[in-house]
Amino acid sequence: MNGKRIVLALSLAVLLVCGASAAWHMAAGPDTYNGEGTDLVALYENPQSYDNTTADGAAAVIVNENLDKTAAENVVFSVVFNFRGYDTLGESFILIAAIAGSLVILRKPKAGRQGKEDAA
Amino acid sequence: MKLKKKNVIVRCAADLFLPLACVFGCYVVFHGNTSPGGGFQGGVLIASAILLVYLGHGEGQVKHSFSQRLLHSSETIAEMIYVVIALLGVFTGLNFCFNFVFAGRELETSVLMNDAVGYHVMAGIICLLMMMLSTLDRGGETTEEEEEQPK
Repeated sequence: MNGKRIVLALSLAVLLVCGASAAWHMAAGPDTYNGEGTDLVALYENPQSYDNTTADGAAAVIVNENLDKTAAENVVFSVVFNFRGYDTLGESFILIAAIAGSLVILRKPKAGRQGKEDAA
Repeated sequence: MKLKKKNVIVRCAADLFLPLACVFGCYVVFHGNTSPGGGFQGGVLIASAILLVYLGHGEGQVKHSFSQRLLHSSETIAEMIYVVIALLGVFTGLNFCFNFVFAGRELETSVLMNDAVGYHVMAGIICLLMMMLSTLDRGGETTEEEEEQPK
């Protein structure tokens, strides 16, 4: 009982230290795009005029080189099925695992077990 | 007991909205590459048809119309189709989930992956809903027995 508590406290401490260091690194790093200079109404009315030359990191690759890299017309579709194909695969396997788990729980009890319960 | 006698209004409304739900779900799945939506959302929309069948015609019709074992095995086959299409890129020396384009912009391999995911989600959600509906009816029977005993 005491050992379990020590292990629990240790793992929580490790999580806390990792989270605090990650937060400190994120705060100390360079600023990313926060949507400050975007005029949403103008973007909706004329999407071609949107200035995407200052996009940073992966967003620049996805926005500017999407057609060359994936040949998909829709950027969202290319992100879901090409750039993040592994992610979609994992989501599907999560669905399979959820259905298998609920099959185990919600399965109708067999006749033998029901007889035992009635006898008891 | 009121739910077991299906009202004619409920039956006709379910029959009216059943094809609309199926066609709209198929539209969302098959146009996933150019419009909002996609395999996951469209699959859930098609799976809502089983609730209309249950509301209009009862649980016996649901068990008569849908085969849970067939759906549960074919969703795994759809997932295997997804993996095989995604592995085409690895076999030709490119990366996983690479998008091949066959005829212009009409037929991409990603579209086939999207359809496979749509069928997979549809079959999975129908399996889940069938299990939940069967537990619903079992719960109703036990409460009826408990209510009858004090009388």
